[in-house]
Amino acid sequence: MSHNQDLLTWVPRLRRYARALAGNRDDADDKVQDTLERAWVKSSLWHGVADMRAWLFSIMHNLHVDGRRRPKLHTVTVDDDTPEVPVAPTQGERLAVLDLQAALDLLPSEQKAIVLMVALEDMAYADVARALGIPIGTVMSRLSRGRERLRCLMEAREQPVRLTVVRNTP
Amino acid sequence: MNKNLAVTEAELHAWVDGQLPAVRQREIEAYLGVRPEELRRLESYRAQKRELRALFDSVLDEALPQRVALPARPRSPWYLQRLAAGLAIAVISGATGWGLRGYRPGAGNDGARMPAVEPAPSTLIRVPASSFAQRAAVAHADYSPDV
Repeated sequence: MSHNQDLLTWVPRLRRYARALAGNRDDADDKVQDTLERAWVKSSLWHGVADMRAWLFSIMHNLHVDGRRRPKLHTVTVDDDTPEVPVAPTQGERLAVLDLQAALDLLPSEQKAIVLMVALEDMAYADVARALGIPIGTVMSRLSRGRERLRCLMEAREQPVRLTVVRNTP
Repeated sequence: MNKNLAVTEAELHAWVDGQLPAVRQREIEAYLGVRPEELRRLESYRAQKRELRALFDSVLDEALPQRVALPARPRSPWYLQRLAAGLAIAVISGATGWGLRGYRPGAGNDGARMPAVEPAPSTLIRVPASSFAQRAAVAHADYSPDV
């Protein structure tokens, strides 16, 4: 019955990750509850799961992608194909420095997920790749973009460093 | 290792996260030693990690709300839950199919034995196909709502 014990073991960390993804306690615990219930639906698979953490985090990620719970805010999907845009408004006005949660919420969801899995869970890149079902190379490029975008937002730069630049015409 | 081997962006992040072999870790440090802008950028990623931990680690110490604690509890598998329900009906109704006819505690019982009511998790209990109660128990098991 060690897998049953493992479920409870992971709940605090699932809650921490969900809190960072969702930004508030209720939505975060919605995600965790959905994740645990989904894990039970798939309980016949547990004996074959080598890495319970990656498996649970991948369920949470896929539930988010499936949109099982309707998002409370209108969101626009931004992915790697979305061109980089300068984060500063035009007219040379500086952005107010954002708090960390607000800055996180501005990241495309895949970048945000990866930045958080590495920062909060110290997850090895191979485990992140497995959890998200993507190649390690994709993990690394999204990690790099996510961290740089977050850094720019927090430091109120006008545009990210060394990434494809869309220049403001004055 | 060849110190001139090109340093990739991926390796710089692996350096931030301590996911490089020790030798390569030192080579990257030497590479960064002469590139202060790069070092500043990577140090800010390390600070970012620390700030994220500072912001969210307190969640780990929170008491678990019921709605996440309950789904995390161990459950018995579905087939034992249904079997237990079926057994309860069969035993209560005195199903003869279980070999209870003529059973008296202590006295010679011609080998008839009362089966254990609690199913052992590792064994399946074969249900004889005769009594009404047994058929009712099977019907109950088939039509039990999913738990």
